[in-house]
Amino acid sequence: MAKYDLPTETIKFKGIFDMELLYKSMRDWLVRRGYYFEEPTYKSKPNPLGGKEDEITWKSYRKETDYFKFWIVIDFHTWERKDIEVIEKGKKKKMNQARMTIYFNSYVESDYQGRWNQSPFLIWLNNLYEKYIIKPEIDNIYTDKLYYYVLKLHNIAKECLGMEAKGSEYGDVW
Amino acid sequence: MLGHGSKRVRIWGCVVKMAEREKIVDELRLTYEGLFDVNELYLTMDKWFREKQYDKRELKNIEHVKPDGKFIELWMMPWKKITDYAKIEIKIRIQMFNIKEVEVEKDKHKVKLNQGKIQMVFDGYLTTDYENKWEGKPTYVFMRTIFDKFIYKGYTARFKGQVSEDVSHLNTTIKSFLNLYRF
Repeated sequence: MAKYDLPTETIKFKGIFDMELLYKSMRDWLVRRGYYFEEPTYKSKPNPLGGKEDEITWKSYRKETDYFKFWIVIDFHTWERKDIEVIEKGKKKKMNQARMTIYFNSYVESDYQGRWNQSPFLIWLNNLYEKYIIKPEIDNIYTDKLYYYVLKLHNIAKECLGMEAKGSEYGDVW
Repeated sequence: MLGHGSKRVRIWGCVVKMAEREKIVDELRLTYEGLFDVNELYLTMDKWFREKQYDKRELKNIEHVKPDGKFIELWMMPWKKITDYAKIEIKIRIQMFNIKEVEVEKDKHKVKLNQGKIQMVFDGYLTTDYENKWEGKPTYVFMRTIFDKFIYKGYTARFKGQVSEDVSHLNTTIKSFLNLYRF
């Protein structure tokens, strides 16, 4: 069983945004693409200076093949989150105002069923298999694919937050 | 797994194995103040990475809404494998200050643009032996250096040239894009 870590992507934002839209859009994207989704951490505590501090962790995975599994772990951290009402196109809308950081961590897990883990010989063979036989597939297909999936999700988050530097020319990659 | 003798270094929060990393372009700067479209600028860069066959890597995207306009900071590090031995990495740090949305009239049409200040810093790196195949033993390191310095000298020089050319082309593309908004 090996883990191939991909670079962490970070979004930091301070301003007004729709938390519900962000939450739903990102979750829908994961579920639509067949990811098993769970939220192991949801902490929300009031700040004496005003607003709330939230810590949310999402863990999602998808079995890409019988051997590889894609993991996407997202950490949301908000500070001074307040509910506010804004008027958009003449209608009142509930929004949030906060300082927020989102970390997108991802990795490819190999031999997630642990089938090559049953004897020292199989462990040695697995090492050989991953280092020399399927190395190009790991580098050029699986890690690349997951990385571009994460970039797509990253872009959805930027669009929901209404950030300026958004969009991608790599939409058709994978 | 890392072999004996190889080191780990932290570059922009990413732990990477110690390959030979040479800085070819050192802090090429670009500053602009005036009208432009932030999203179009971002997409122009993205398009350039795609056209030049770079893999995109966006490490940080920071946006703060402030009373005097938005503050935006982007850290990007696109990379491209040239061979199984060498790869190019471009480090781009972008800071935008006091970004406001303005409406201007262009060809009798109202267009929404941004106004503010941009500072960009580009660094270009040539990374050799990125798979750390020659890092395992001191004899490998010695042999690699001999190859790099004497046998592959011509190739290494060509790769270095490609790093400067790509960084300079990206810089020119962004300059031309920004200059369009001056007139």
